[in-house]
Amino acid sequence: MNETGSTNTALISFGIYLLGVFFLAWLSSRVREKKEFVGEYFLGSRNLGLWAFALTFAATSASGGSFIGFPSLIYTHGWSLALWIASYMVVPIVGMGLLGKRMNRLARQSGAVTIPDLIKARFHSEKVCMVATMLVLFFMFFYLLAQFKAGSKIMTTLLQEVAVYQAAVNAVGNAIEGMPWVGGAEPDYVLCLLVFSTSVIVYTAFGGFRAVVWTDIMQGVVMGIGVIILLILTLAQVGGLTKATEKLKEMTPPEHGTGIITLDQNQEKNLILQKGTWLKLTDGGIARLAEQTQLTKGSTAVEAKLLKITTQSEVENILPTNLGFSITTTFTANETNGYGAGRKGVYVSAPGPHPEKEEGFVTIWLAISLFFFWAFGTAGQPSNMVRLMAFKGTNVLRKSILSISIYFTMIYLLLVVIFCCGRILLPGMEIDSDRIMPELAATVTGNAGVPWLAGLLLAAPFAAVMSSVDSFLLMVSSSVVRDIYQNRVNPNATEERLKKLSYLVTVVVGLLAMLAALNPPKYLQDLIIFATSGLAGCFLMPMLICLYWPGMTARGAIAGLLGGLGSHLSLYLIGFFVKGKFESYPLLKLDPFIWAVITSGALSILFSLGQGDRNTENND
Amino acid sequence: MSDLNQAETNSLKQCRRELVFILLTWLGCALWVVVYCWLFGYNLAPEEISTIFGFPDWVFWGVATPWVIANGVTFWFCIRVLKNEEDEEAIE
Repeated sequence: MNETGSTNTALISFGIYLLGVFFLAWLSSRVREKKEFVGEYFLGSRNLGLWAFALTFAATSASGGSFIGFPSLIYTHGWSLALWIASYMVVPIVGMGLLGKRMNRLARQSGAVTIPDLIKARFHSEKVCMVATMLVLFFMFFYLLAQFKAGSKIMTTLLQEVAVYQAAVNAVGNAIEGMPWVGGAEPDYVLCLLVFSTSVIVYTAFGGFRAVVWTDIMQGVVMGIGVIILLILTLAQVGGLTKATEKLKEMTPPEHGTGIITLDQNQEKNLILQKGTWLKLTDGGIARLAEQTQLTKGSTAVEAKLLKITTQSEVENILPTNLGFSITTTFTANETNGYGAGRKGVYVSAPGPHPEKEEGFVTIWLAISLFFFWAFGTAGQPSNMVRLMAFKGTNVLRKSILSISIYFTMIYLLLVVIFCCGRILLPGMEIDSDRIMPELAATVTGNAGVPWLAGLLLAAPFAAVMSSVDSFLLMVSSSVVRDIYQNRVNPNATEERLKKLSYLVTVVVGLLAMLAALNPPKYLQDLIIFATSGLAGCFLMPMLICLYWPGMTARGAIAGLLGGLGSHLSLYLIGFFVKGKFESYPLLKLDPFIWAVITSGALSILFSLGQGDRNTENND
Repeated sequence: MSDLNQAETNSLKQCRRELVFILLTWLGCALWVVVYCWLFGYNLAPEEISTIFGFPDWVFWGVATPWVIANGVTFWFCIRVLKNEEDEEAIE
């Protein structure tokens, strides 16, 4: 594989992609000049057509995880990921159909622009509107911060071999050295964070909801085309899916361990062994270097982290990297209680191998939780709910559900096929499995003689993460401008004032998230899960019940929102005390989201039923 | 009852029917996928797994087939179950 070629392509594709995004933001700002500002800026004047609505929903749902984390999981755990993601078969009908029609109707009748706005219109209650606003702001900020970090990490992963980029990283490293707050961060991360967040903040602030939707359309198309091309090239190169699955049957998980690398002769200068170097072992096996390793002048041996390949056919086929000097390498496997070591068939059956967990990866309890979580968690995300307020009519909803059913089948089921095959084409990627997407794109396009196509494939992860971040950024700023300023502080604010404030708040919120992400909390990935399941756990049931049951009261809604929050926080608190880390406690082995939904739903109903005069209370 | 109230009542009734259909679809798919995969997809030796169109058999019957059927049910839902609002123009 040509590393430099592929990663330069990544830089070029990223550049072209950004130009496209800025062009769309400029176009949308031209459209906005002729319309009422707040409704247009935060909700695109409520007239999303089929493709705009369908693809903005799909692109917002697919975050960076869909093209980086998910492929990495497929590569590591095999066909069991088909069960892990299976709930996406009903995500379109549940995510859009459950709340779509009722929510759109109420939003149109009331003129609501945000979710708290809609709740206020439903209950005529300022209290419930404030509770909803605070919850959106609380969870969304964590999510925004986490997505900024995810976006930057994806960029560092994709661009790490580009020469121009490396020079810029060195310059940033020198500039930030010793700076408070920022100085502790890796320079490559800081550079990518600055580029990524500035781009997103500028086009979101400038273009508003319409720009976000239009870029989502472009991002959705890029993702779809990328997956199809990758599927065709990958299947052709493994000789078809049947052959790939037959090979996977015979595979056994590699072993993580430590090696001693010894030089067979005295070296005269420092030697560097690159991460990913293939080394022949003294026992006849083959292992891959899991970290860059340096042999300093005068020393004859060094310890290094290795990944030993255990599948016999791969051991026979992989050639050690030609280093130009002679070494011997021994290997000692780490002690682990994981599932699947030395066992054939684990990549083609559930629960899938896991290097640490004795019960494997997709336990049946995880499968149950995820079938619930993906479908109802999507329906319960306020960022998705906002889109349900913006489509043009039932016909658009109908066609969008149909289109997204096909789109999600194409994306998620095919990604499982692609990256199961990727295991065969690229062994030993466990040393950095997050890079499987760019590596596979570069490999299959290079093998097919069309390396320029890698650019299109590499734009997919950029597209996925940006399409999520812009939506969340706009949600936070709309909560501040509409729900706090316009609804509570200054209901008579002029259009011009709201316009300036909207730009300002979007930029300030983005900058705050970027500053926080410069020095992110340790358990950031866990924060993403915390925020998504928290938001859905709090909002799903109160929204569902209030839309379908006229008897629900404001007090019931507040109890539901806070009950979901309480349940969610309690399980995280228990998890922290029991496990000693930021992770939820799986009560009865089920995801905390399920408990939050049950608690929130029960309290919404009980508090509404237990109230005498509903009409009086609602007018607080 | 005014026309608008009547339209709201009719809309709510229809949406509830659609809600029940959606929840039953989710439940049916969840039961099929989880039960089938639990019975036939776990802890298999290579010789216990055959392939259908390249998929391991448990993935084909436990995930891919219900996925295609779920798409069919979704299609049915959109064409037959999901109805336009009778006052859709009026609430603009």
